[in-house]
Amino acid sequence: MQGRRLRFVCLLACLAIAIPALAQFGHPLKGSWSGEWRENRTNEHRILLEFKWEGKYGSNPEGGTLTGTLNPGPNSAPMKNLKVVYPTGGVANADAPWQVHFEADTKDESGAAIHVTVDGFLENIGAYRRFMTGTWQEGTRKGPFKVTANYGL
Amino acid sequence: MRSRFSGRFLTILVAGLSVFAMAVWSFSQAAPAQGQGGGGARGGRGGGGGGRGGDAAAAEPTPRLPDGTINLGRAPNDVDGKWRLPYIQNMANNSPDRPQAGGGAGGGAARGGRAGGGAAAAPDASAAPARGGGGRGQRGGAASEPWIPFLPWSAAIYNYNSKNESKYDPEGYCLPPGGPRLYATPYPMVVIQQPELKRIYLIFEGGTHVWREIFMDGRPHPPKDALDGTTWLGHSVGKWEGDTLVVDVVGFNEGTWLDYYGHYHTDQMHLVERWTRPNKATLHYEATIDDPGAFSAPWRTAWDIPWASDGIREYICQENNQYLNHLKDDFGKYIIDHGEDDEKSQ
Repeated sequence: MQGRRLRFVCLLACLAIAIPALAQFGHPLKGSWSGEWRENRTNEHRILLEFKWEGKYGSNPEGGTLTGTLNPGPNSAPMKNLKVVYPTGGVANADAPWQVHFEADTKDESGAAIHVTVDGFLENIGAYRRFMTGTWQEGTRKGPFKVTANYGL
Repeated sequence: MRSRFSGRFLTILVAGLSVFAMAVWSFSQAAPAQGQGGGGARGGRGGGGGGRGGDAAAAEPTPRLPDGTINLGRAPNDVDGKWRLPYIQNMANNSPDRPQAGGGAGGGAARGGRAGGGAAAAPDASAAPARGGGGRGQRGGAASEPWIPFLPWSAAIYNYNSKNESKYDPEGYCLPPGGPRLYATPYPMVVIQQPELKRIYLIFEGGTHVWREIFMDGRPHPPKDALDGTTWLGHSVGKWEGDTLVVDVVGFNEGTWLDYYGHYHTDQMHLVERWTRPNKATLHYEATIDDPGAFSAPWRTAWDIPWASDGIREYICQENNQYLNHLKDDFGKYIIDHGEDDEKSQ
């Protein structure tokens, strides 16, 4: 009996977590993303990204401004040359990944200035577990990366 | 012996008729089957239905409150009554800005209940079928709705929702409809006016049993910082312009879609709603969607809502809603972690 009650409480708790987690639409890049890029088998580096979208009538062909921050916090760096390329071909090709490019000037672990170039693909766009994968380059170091959207309304 | 046989026969007959009656009753309660009355194979009861009386009420004049204000709800001599909200899957098809077959904008012609089909201009034949907002497997995406001022990103996501047939529709999860979709989800609504308190309340049978409070006392919206992205239904202030109730709504979060077809909005959405009651049986709703986050210009949508003479009932969307349990993402992975089952599916 107690086991059943516990299971029921766990189910309710899971639903309480799951439903808000699903509830985020708006611009698919907006919000915070976390993950890592892998330099080699032993070196993985944590990544935190934050994107903001502000629409404005008549502002530009995109209809607004998408901005981003690499590693928000004391060592944050604004993204530069942030660009999103949407799939062409209408509905037939609508589930193709969105291409995302950005760059940033930041510092590496030793404090040396470093230029970051990122080329990614945004996938699983409608699901709360949407993610971005691609290539992360920091100076001469390069490797694959994956970040997943963090949710909260 | 004969009477025992007759008794058994009667018992079987009564039992059979009871089963049949229950089956008919259950069927009448069952459609449409989505979280909140949409089009997918989802949980929930669905369907407002019921309550005839519209034809008779159509001949009756618009009821008014003692002070002469339009009465948007039940009149004193009504035993019961509700607004039977229509099921509008694609609000683009109800836009007065949509070009009509004979050319020109539709003006106020896009009235009346159901949408979801119909011919539409398709400027990009390479990207869209000849029909806008068609049925299953025929959805043309943004290119089939040139009168909707999509931004590049909102067009891309609308195409995506068209291709996957709205499988991520938040109403399927029993989340509340937001903005104009409150009046396009097919469950009844009751309007309660309280002029002495300067409030209007809208109570929804569906929409996860939500309600709206419209402030009629002239107060402004709270500062943007206090509202930003915090509410599902927005902050509503209203006023009467003659016999039209005009409601200004801001402060939406990004947890909802505008409609089943998957027109997105952002938390920059500002909604202007205009309500009229041309006769007792008809409520006319028009919304201007002013959302620079998702569109390049404001656009409108409008429809009529018929009166029904019966009352609202209880409906709990979450009850036995299995949709989330079966929903998989674009890579075939369950949205909700099923543990062992999840691993088997991959």
